[in-house]
Amino acid sequence: MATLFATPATWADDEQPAADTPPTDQAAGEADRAATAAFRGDVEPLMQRFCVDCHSGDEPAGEMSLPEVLKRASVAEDRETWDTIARRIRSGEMPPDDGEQPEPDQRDAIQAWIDGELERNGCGGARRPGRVTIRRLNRNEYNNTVRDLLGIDFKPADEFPSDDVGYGFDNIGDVLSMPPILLEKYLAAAEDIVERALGTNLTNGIRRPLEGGKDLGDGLRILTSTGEIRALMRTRGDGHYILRVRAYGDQAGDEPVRMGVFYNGEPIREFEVRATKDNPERYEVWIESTWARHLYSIKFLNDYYRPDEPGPNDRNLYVSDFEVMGPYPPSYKTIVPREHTPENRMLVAREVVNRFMRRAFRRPSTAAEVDRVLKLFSLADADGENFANAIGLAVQAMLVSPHFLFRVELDPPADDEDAIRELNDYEVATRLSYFLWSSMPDDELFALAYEGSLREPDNLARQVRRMLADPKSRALVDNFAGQWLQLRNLTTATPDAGVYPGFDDALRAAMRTETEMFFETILREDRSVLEFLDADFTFVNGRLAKHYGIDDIEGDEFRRVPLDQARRGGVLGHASVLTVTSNPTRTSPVKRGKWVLENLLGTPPPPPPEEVPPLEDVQLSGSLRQRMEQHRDNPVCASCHKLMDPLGFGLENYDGIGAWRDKDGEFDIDASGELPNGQTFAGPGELKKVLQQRQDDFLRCLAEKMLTYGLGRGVEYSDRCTVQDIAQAMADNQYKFSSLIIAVVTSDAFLKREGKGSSP
Amino acid sequence: MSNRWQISRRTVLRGMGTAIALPLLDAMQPALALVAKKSKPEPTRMAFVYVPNGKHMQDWTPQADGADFELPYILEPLAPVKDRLLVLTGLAQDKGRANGDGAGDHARALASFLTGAQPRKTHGADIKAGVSVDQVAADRIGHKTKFPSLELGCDRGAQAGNCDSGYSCAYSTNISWRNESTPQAKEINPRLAFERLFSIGSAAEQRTKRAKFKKSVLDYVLEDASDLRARLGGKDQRKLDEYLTSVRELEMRIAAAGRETDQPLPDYPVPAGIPKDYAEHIRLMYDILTLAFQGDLTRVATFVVANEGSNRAYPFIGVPDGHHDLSHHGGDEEKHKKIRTINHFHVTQFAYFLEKLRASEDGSQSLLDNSMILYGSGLADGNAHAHHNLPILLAGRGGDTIRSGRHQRYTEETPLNNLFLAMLDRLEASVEDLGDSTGRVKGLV
Repeated sequence: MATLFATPATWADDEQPAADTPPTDQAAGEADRAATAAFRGDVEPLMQRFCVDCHSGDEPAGEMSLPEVLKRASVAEDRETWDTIARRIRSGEMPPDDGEQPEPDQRDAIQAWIDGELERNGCGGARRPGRVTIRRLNRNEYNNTVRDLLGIDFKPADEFPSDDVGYGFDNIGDVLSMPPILLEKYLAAAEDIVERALGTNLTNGIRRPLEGGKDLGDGLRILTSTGEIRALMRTRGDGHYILRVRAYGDQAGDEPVRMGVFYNGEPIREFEVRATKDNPERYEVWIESTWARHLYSIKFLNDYYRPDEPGPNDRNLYVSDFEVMGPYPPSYKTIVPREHTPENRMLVAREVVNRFMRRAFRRPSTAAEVDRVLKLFSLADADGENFANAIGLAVQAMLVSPHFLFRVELDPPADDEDAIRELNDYEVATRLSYFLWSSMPDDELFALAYEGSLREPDNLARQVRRMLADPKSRALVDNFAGQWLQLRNLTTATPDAGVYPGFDDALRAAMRTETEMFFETILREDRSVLEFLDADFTFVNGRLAKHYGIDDIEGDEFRRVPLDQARRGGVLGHASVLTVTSNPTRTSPVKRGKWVLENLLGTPPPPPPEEVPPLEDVQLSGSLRQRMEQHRDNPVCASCHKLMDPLGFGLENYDGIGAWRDKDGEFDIDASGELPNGQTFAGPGELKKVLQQRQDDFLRCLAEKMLTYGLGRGVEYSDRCTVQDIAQAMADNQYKFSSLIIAVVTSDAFLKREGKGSSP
Repeated sequence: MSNRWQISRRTVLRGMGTAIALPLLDAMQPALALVAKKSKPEPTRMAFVYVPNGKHMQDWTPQADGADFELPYILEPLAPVKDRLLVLTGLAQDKGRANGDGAGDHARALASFLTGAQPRKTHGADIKAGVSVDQVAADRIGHKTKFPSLELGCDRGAQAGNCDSGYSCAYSTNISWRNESTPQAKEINPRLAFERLFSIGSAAEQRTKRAKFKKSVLDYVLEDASDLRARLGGKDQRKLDEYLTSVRELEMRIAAAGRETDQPLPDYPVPAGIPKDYAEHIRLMYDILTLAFQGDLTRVATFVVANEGSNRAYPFIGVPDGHHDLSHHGGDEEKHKKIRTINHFHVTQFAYFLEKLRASEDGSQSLLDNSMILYGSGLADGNAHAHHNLPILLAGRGGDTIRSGRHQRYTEETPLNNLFLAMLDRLEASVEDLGDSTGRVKGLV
């Protein structure tokens, strides 16, 4: 069985041989020749008779032109087209009802040849990995990355403009753009982040006048002999404080000026003050302090005065700009792991920048890069900013660097344009973590990358399991499930208050929580993904239980409940899905049918024709179903609507906000449906059984969606074998959720990259 | 709901000796004239306002042509400013049509509206439309104001799912295109839009230092990004180009800001955020647009009132159904009535905006006289997805260059882009052609 992989536009762009190229039989192989012979004899005449009339000429039906395809008679060459043909014939869509219909044995003959050829030209060879355009962090990823990089949890990206969506997801490299307004916001966010993480905007400073020593004006004090300059200060919270002071000395004798810093009378640091008047130094001491009054003092430790000797003979200590600032946030010490002295200031700065850069850029840094950032540190430092502020400027710069904002993956070298290269461990770690956590790699992933052992298959699988078990995998619920099942559209759904007076924000929230918890359970308990189609449990709180007609559930807490699967179970029974696929005032079987085709079966209906003809003799009375049956009257409409409508009818027992109903106004609900291949069903229970028979389609659909989300690019026709591999992996592993993820992560598409010369 | 600025703070600003620390109230007009920055005539402003899903044209197009016409039902709210209005009939955006690409009229309608270019049909790979007229103007005259252009909206981008038949959601969300592959994102939060325009922030001295540091950060990333770009492949380079362009624009803005005096805060309460009430949201955005023009913070703006294809319900005006659903009326009289109710609602908000502009003095005339505000949709009848005889209004007199108060009919299929060329002329941002233009329209004077 085959599924549709690309939109008509793609194969319309495909390079096809020119119309006047003589047909060639495919070169090698007895098998090829036999196949072509069989085609010419048995199949081609049938297709000429039943298909070519509409599918030829300047404006071929459905934009599919057959004459060249039939001439070539090669499934290998026109695989995508034959895929589509096979699908349309199998589902009964084609030929349309108003066209001449083949006899069953004729239909079978066509089908058998195509299926055989598709099988023969299957997935034996290597997989093409494709190429992902450089991806910038989207809003969620940015928020999460800031949280994990700096240890602060505020969400600056909530104020960014929305990310554009492509292929149903908002993390697609090609679609995410970088307009000026966004860069502005990044800059502003970087300033904000630095303030919070490094406490650069602390006003909790204590700069009381000093006592002791001699006041020389302008805040400068001198200690000429052993003595102390002191300040009694109240600090306003427990935590990490920084004491700063500027100092220099009149140097004399054979040792430099020595300065001691004391906290409540206890010595905590001692400095050699080699600075002189032209070049005062800045000194910092870290103090863990508490909410109380404390005594901070500076003592001149080694007075020296030899009035009889020539030259500099009087040693003195000068002190100014005394301050104690804090408490600094915990993230300060994450970024600046140790204190510095004037002598090793640059060294420590370099260390800090290097550490931060490795994590921010998600890979080892080069000396040149670190130098470049350090220039900013030096700029601020030279301007008189304290160490924290100067580091802050460097961090700001790194937070707006493209190496942070984009996930960079270089192509294979330019001289080998068709090359495929393996991604390195850091690149894989980054892909993994953004896939499963929508955030940057953690220390364990970085460690494995550093060792170079991340890509060993055992390690990959082990990491996937670990990451799925980690609470951060909640991101998959929020971001994958939210978009695959279109839960995000619940926010803007507006069921009409007149028709659905019971609908309110509490119910809206409950609906969403149900589906999220359901998805999360399948993830965390590593359950079979087939339970998305049908399951014997769900999650409700009091509100939602009442909505579903489940008794004896009270309160706001959500709990797991068993279900009667004829009535509910699986996502098609979730009020969330049922609401986003309805209109404000009524259900929409067409939207629901389309949803099932797009999101569960991976066989989206073709787009509607350009001018949807007005219905003639429109019958506006009758039940919704009766009115919709009119879609069938016009065969042009029917060819697609006979796919969508029945699926939607099967869900008619659920009203526009997902509650069960047996009547719609005065009409009894008729939830029966007939598919084009003759299958019938009545009600959601039987509809689900029909879908389960198309399990292969579902697995491939889910694989496609997950692959799109995981790669950040649309799935192309060339990925079909990868998708097949993933679907097979699930089937081989009891359909467990983890097998889906592991299959994606171990695929060539995930681990490798094509060069820029190749087309996507 | 909104918070007012402390009076004392504004007084402090005034006291700081900034020359124009006065809000632009009519009562202050004489004072303002004395300290007016501009001794030459006021600049012309241009804005584009977009509403989706077409219109009920039968209640939009006036019967008569020329100066003596009646305002049909949908346009009735514009009666007070009728003399400053041009109703234009006959314009078309051919590139919104399929032209061989099949379904997707909504995506195309918005993507082609200001570009006159056929958007490439793709879910995501290789998004391409064309440069839009507002960005053409911004390129040429944007350096004269603090912001080269302003992009506003009320709807976020699509949150999930597909938007229109094989077209990425980027097409039905964005009207302004910097270049053929980079849409300009819209600000939809009135508070953020306000704060961005008026840089609510710290004292001047702090700002200078921050500006210096900001510039150095930008220099750094410019170097970093150029370096990276050189090592990347084709499409990746384009993404870096977007980044580099944005950085350079910001650098220019910061440099320009350094030379300006402090921006006076307008006499307007800071919006608290996105209001629940849609009408209020729209009006807040119109207010911000007015403030931006008044303060000459920009002369080019776009406002997408609702994304193309929007299925928003309008229960507050008695229409609980989704807008897009309704626009596929199939001839149903009930649906017609509801569509025109929605159309009428949007024009009512637009009239509010125009009256504000008219009440705002701008030199010796009104701000409305010195502006050109285009209001319209990339679809005429929503059911037929018609891309010709588009509903287009041109309000304002473009600084005495437009003879308003008429219903002007053009020959069918006159490209909308021809109107854009004429508008760009009036902005002193002329170009030879744009998109599918074939010349400049006549009939504006």
